[in-house]
Amino acid sequence: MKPEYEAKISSYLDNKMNDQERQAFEEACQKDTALKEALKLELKARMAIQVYARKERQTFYEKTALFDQVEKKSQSVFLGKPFKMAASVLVICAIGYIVYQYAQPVSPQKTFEKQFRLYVVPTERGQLSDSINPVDSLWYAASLFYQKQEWERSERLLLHLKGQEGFMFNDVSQLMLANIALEQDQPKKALEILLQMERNNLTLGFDISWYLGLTYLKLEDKASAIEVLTPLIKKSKVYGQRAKDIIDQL
Amino acid sequence: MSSPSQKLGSSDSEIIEGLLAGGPPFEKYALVLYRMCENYIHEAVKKHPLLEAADIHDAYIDAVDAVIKKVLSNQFKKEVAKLSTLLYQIFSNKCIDQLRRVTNHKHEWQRNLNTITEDLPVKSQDFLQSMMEQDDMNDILSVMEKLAHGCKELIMDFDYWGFKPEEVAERKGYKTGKSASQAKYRCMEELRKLIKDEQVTKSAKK
Repeated sequence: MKPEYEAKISSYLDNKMNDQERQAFEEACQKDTALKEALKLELKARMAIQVYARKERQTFYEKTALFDQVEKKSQSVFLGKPFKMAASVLVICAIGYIVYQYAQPVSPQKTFEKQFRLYVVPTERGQLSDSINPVDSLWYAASLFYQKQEWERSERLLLHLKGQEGFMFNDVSQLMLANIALEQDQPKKALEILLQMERNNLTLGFDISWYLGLTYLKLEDKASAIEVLTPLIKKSKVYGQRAKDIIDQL
Repeated sequence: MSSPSQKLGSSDSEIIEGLLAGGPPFEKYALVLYRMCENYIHEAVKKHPLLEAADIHDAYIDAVDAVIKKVLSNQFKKEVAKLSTLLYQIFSNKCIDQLRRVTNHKHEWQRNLNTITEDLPVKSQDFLQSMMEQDDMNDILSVMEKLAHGCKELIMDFDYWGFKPEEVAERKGYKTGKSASQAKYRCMEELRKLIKDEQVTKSAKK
């Protein structure tokens, strides 16, 4: 647009001309096509601005009004009842945690950890409360160490229990000691325990035979191993197949 | 009975100060003004059954912006009238304009033309009206959308709100008012070019 047109047009549209000037300008527009087109273009530009502005303002008012509503609502929740809100959140969290805990499958590891916390640690520290029977706790601890294959700790507790009053040092405990000896690569010690058990004619006959067989194998006494394992093939459902496999290999 | 502005907790003085402050306070108090008399829309909807609610809403927005422009150009004297009174007067006139447009089956663009030429004498308004009637205005009015965001804001500040170059420079971070004016000039040239291109495309299609 020509600068001289621009100044005139602005002056006309912004109502800065007097009546005479305005009339002269309108007459000039009729004669000068370029001026007329420039005026039209400026009007269209201003109308485009007007349309855009209205749309923008409408969006602004509507959005801000909506935001205000949401903010007001959230304020009434968070500021109006802060304690109620905090309490609700805590309760929901607590319920969620409890549900989560119970929904979790109890793994052997978790069980062990729990029992370890309850019994083993206090036993080893000598901090066991009076309400817990120390013999039971020690037995628990020995069993747990045994499960964890912590042979030395389990054996120490079992031997400690052996002399304790109120504890029945039964066949299970002895068998555990025998197996611990085997695991620690002390077959002679294991043999001694197992033969003692056999002599006492304890109830765990098949178990004793099985561990005796394994002990003889460790001692490379194949004949004795076959001798004690053979009866298991027919008589024991638990050890039968495994005994047969060993004998077949021998 | 309390006035709407009292209900909102903002006096006319506060609104005027906020609008003149620019930036976020401007937006805040523009909204306060808008909401202060929103009930006028509901009244007008009942009063003018020939008008659609959207037209009345547009008229209200135009009226609010007209009041804001008067405040920004220091034409509003709070000692003489209340903002709500001025808004009501302008809004009523806008509704009547809308009613005339609807009853005379005028186009949407004619309303926009009326808005930008309302300060001119009636004779000049008629002159411009007859001049523009020969042109197809469809689609041309939406060309602003094609401008860069910065350009749109600059044009709005200068041509819609009527801020002075120094004020725009301060609002938009230009070093001087002159550099803001130069930037706006380039934007206006771009807008005119877009309008021309649009016209060429339309005539080529015909």
